[in-house]
Amino acid sequence: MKTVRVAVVGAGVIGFSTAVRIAEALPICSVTLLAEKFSPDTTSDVAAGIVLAQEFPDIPLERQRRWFKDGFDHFFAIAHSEDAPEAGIMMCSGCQIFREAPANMKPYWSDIVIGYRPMTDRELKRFPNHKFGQAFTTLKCECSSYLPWLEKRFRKAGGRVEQRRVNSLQELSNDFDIIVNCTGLGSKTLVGDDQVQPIRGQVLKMDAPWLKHFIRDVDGMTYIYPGIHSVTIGGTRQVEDMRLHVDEGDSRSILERCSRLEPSLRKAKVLYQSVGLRPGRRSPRVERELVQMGGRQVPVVHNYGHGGWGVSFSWGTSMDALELVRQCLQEIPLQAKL
Amino acid sequence: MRVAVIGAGVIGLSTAQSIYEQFHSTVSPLTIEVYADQFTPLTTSDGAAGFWQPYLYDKGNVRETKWNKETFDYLLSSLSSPECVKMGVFLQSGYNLCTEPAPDPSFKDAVLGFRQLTERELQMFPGYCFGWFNTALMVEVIHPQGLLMLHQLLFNQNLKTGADVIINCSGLRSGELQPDPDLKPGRGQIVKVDAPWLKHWIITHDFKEGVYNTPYIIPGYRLVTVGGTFQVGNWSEQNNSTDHKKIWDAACQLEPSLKHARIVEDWSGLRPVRGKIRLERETIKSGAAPVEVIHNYGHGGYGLTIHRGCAQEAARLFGQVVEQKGKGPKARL
Repeated sequence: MKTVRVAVVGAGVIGFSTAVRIAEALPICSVTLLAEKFSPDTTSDVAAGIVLAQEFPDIPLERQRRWFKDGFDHFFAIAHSEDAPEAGIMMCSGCQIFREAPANMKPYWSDIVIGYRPMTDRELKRFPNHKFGQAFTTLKCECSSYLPWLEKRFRKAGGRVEQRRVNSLQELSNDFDIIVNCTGLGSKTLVGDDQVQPIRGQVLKMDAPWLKHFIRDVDGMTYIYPGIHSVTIGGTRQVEDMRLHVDEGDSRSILERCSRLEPSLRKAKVLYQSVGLRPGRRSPRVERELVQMGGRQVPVVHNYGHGGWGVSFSWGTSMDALELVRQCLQEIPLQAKL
Repeated sequence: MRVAVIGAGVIGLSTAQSIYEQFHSTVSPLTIEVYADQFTPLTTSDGAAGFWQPYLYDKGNVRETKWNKETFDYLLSSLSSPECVKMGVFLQSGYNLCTEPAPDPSFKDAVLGFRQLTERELQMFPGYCFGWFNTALMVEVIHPQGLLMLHQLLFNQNLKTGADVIINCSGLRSGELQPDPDLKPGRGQIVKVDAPWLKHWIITHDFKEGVYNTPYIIPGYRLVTVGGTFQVGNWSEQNNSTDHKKIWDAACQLEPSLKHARIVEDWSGLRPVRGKIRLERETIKSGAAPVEVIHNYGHGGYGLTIHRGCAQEAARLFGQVVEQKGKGPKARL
């Protein structure tokens, strides 16, 4: 039987997760991952990588739940293995705080994270401007370690990696039978998806090793995420802002807002700052289509548009992408298996 | 009024601080001198993981439970200021694991967010079927500056005679000043490792083995403290390779990711173990004038946990001495 040549475009957390899934599950496929940028220069590298969820508007809740659970179980297993430090995965406890009590006290992910409970009054005393909080234990996945770890796993499964800027899916049609598009923000131009928009995020990495809990204001704008070697604090959410350089005004605002939640940050040294452009979209696009390319219909599987939730939903959406590739395979014998 | 504090561990220095705080404006002159043969970083306190947690059960010793809680509240209040970094105080959550179901510990109301462990959490720790999760405090002696502040305030190297009050905070060595058959060493050996991905403490309990004789893993400021041993009667301060292996193997079983941790150093210390803390006054008739002594020693493996409550109580006893000697504010009317 002829090998089916699969191209996965994109080397962020979505690209590598999807590539690993395909290479490990489908031995009939020879998988090549192509990307212009690799870790540590991807959007994923900027992310703190705390595993949290929010509700996407256009995806059935059950599907999102499954995505989130898949990811959580996957990271959880690594966290409790010897691989944890190399893969950059750690367990982290902390809280999400609300200025006003939310309508839904038990979001769909509350029984997937560990030990979820409302914060006690004594715990809330530390946050006088917030009336409600959720305390739980979750995971953190640091892509600057996780992506190289995934790449190792990908190569071990026979995958090949090529550094190359892909300007159109067409240019891949001669060399590949199935194309998997994990280009995040790049999909805006690569497949002409107007729904995709950059949401600029700036973070500071602090030297504050005494901080052991994450704190996130549910407005998504202010957060403190202790990591393996530094504490990530942020952030910003600037829609349609493509600036990749550090904005000093943002730095001051982030430090001020985070220090109000955690006064000891005023004594912490700033190690460095980063900016990333989240691939914003109403909901992630995980679906397949047939695209006319030079005389034939080429199956394309899309897995992009995860906004600020890429890490959390990477393993779950890549499972769906794998299933879509499987479906494409079933249709191929009619064309290519000569 | 001349006060001599003997001992510069956490008990000695915090007692000196409490006395200074409460009396320096009303008792004048007030000289407080700290005498010790070891100062930070060489005291028993320095080897401690710096984790606030009493033994699981207080056996009816409600005074000590009260002092533990006072200490927790005192440390907790320091978090609202950036000074907490210099003091080495920070919050950390974690797991107390038991091999069998057990009654709630005495500190359940002192700590934050106390609850039983869920099934999924217990699955993380094979061999343990029960336990609790809570947020507690760490008091890590990370910046000698924190305690150095007190040194500059109070330290006087020259041993002088003629103190009005002696505060005995000499820990395990109290036996040398005054025999105390109830005071024994509780030897502990620890391994300090570099494993910054760990953000929770894990303390195991085996009621047959006794306190701190089963593994514990306590991440600190930059290093993780791995233990435990609690060998009553063992006076050796040398690191023992058999103990090291036992501690390390048990900890790696509890936390597999430790296999890749870099071992930085071993350390051994002698906890000043006693049936209960000796915190009381004693008037010693020696020579011409009686000497007022306040004892504050025998804090075992919970010195950091209880230090502030005991220091405040010792200061209260000091106040009684001040009254008796007529040195208080009343005397100046």
